[in-house]
Amino acid sequence: MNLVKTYVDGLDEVLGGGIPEGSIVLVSGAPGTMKTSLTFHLLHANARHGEKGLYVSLEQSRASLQDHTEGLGYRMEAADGNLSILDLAALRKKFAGPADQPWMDLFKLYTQGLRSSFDYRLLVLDSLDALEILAKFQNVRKDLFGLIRWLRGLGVTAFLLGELPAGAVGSADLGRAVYAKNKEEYLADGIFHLRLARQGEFGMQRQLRVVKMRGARHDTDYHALVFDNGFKVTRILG
Amino acid sequence: MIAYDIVVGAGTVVAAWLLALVALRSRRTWLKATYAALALTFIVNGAAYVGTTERFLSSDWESAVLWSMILAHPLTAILVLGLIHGETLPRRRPAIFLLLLAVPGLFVLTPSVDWAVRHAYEPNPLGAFLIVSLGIALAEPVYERLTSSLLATDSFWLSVGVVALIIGGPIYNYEFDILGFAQAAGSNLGMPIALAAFAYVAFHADPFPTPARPKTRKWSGTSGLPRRNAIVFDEERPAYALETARSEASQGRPVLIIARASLPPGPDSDGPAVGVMEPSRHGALKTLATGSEFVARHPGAVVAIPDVADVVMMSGWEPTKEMILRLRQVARDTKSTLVLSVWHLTEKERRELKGLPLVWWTLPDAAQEIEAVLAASFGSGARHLVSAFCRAKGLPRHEVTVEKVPALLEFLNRAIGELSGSLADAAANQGLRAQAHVAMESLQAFAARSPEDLSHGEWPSKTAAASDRELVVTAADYWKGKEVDELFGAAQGLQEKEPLYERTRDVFVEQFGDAGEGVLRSELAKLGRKPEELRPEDVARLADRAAVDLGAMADVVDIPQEKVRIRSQIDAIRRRLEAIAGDQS
Repeated sequence: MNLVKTYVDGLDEVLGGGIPEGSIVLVSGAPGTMKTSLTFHLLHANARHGEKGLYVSLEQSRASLQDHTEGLGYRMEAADGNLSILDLAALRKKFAGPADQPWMDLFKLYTQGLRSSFDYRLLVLDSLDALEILAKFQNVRKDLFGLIRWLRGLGVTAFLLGELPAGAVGSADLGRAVYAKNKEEYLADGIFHLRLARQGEFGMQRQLRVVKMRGARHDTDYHALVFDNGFKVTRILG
Repeated sequence: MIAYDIVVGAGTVVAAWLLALVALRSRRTWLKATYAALALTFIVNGAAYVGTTERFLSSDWESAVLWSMILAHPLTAILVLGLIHGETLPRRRPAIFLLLLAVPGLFVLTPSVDWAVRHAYEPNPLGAFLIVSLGIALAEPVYERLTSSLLATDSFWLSVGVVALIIGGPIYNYEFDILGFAQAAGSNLGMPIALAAFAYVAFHADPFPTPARPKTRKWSGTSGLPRRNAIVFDEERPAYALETARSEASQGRPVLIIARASLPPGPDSDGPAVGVMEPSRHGALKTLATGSEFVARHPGAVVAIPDVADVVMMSGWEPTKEMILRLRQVARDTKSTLVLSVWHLTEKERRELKGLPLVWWTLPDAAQEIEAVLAASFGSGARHLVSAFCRAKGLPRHEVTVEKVPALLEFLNRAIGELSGSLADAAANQGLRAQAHVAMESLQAFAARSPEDLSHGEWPSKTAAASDRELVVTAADYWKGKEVDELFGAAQGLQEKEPLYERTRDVFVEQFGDAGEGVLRSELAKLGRKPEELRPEDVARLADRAAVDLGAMADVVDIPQEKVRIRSQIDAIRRRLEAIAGDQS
């Protein structure tokens, strides 16, 4: 089985080597947990190693996303043309109107069409919640079911960003934990859960847990997610 | 009333609530009946126990405590095994029902040998019977827990339920006896826990919603599908798998398609029943339950799963593989047929599936083969004919299956009919008709071929030799070529007689796929028009504004080649719209 490396110091060890190629991975977490930055890092680092990746942004414009990620040190030039940003947020402004927009079909049109000229192997959808709202899912679970199935047919390793309200999952109730709003956690092959955990009286720490990864022997503990000139995953001390 | 009686009474109320819940929510008739029998036995046991100890009921009811206790043990074993084996229990573990045969004997013997509830678990034939029943009920889930990936979780919960009954029964019985609380004998505090665990498992393995059909006798008509087996349809899309299922249903054979709602058409009285797959992490278990229940009600049936990949997505590969093997066994037991389509499965999953004892049919893409059949008569123009047919019928190319062959024949006939009026050369007209006749006969012959026959690999696209193609060119040349071109023109003409909106929509759909219609509607909204209000001058305006309005679609990508590709698509839309506007004016 081919594995996609995350190039995050410590995370590939947690995953038992990497993410099985072709997996659909749900990256869920509250605002501020660095979902966008982490997945962008993943695409950027793979692009530097020659693996093509596509970042589909429905909320943030390309310029804003580039400002944000270049601030973290991820320069597009360093990706050697192996990283593309699909700015569907811009299309939202152009297509603003009373008619129902075919956002799901547009998403599929672009992501499938791009394969002919830019054979990407990694895909990030930012975010699942935005697509759900824009595409006006009638039956959310069934539409998500269809989307994930379609992504599986696309044959890429996909990361779907999902927003969770702050404090949605507490460490005390892991047995009943919910990592997605519409039970898409059952459909995804893998789940990264990101959270902000209190440290001491005033401190907060970003933490990451690989909740699920089909086909991988992974560690299921929460780990500290640190950004210091690049991402690093370490054991939580104390 | 002592606290112990209150707990037993509360447990009895919980048992009644669970019984109502399972009766209302579960879809498996056989399991529902077994669950109801066990729950009722427990309710009688609890009520009789509380009633006699609290003296609401006369002492005659004390025998009801013992009898319900005796009956509950074999029923527990049957229910637990039923939750594991489903409707196949009578075939897989028929010996379990022998436990019920012992019950009347024990009822008869009880008064004569003076067995009482407090001696129930002592070393005597009654005690042995009760312990053996609980032992069987525990052994099977423990075995499944160790060997099955599909039933691992549920086996755990079944074991929890049985262990609760063992603790609440024999163990507490012994403990209470030591403590001198002998009147607790006969009750079982583990009963609501066990019923809750069994209900939990029953809901995991609840079938997907399926339209109710009356139970039928074993179907014994003729069929093109081998019985007692599972057939894998290896094809690009599940076209043959669905077509075969519908064809079997049209011959009166009971057929169930387990699929997402949007894939096959809805059920009708003569067509196949459709079990609508719902997203669930127990998808494999539910698929197994849906298929098993259907063939139990309709022996000799066909169960088709066109989306095995969806089950894999919900439950993972190993449980899905086990589900397939179990369903295959069910099919063998009931002389039924399991039809699987493996599109979207990964190479590794396909390899593993090929290692299983399943019949494997590799089938062609029908659209490609239909085109190959037409190419034998019309050369490279076959592609235009298929495209024109797709546009006229509003079909994506992948939906051109053998089921569409009659419509395609009718379309060809109409095209030739249109053309015959305008061709002056009678010989050319006759020649073209002969060519079309050969093509139509070949199409009918291809459509009549069974999937089994096609699985041998002799497909039109493979058998069409290069020399035949050359002959086609010669024939077309002989008939001056233009007749064939005119046939394509006539086919195009059929499409052009469609309403303006449909023609405009086709232009967008051709370039942008499913998103095309939405983009067109959005552009119409900017013009303040509804689809039915579209006029030729609007189409002209759409063409004028296409480069500007649709240009944004190219701006959202940052890959230069992709920008060029999208701009060329927009340009193609502009040109086609101009042509339509010109035609209309």
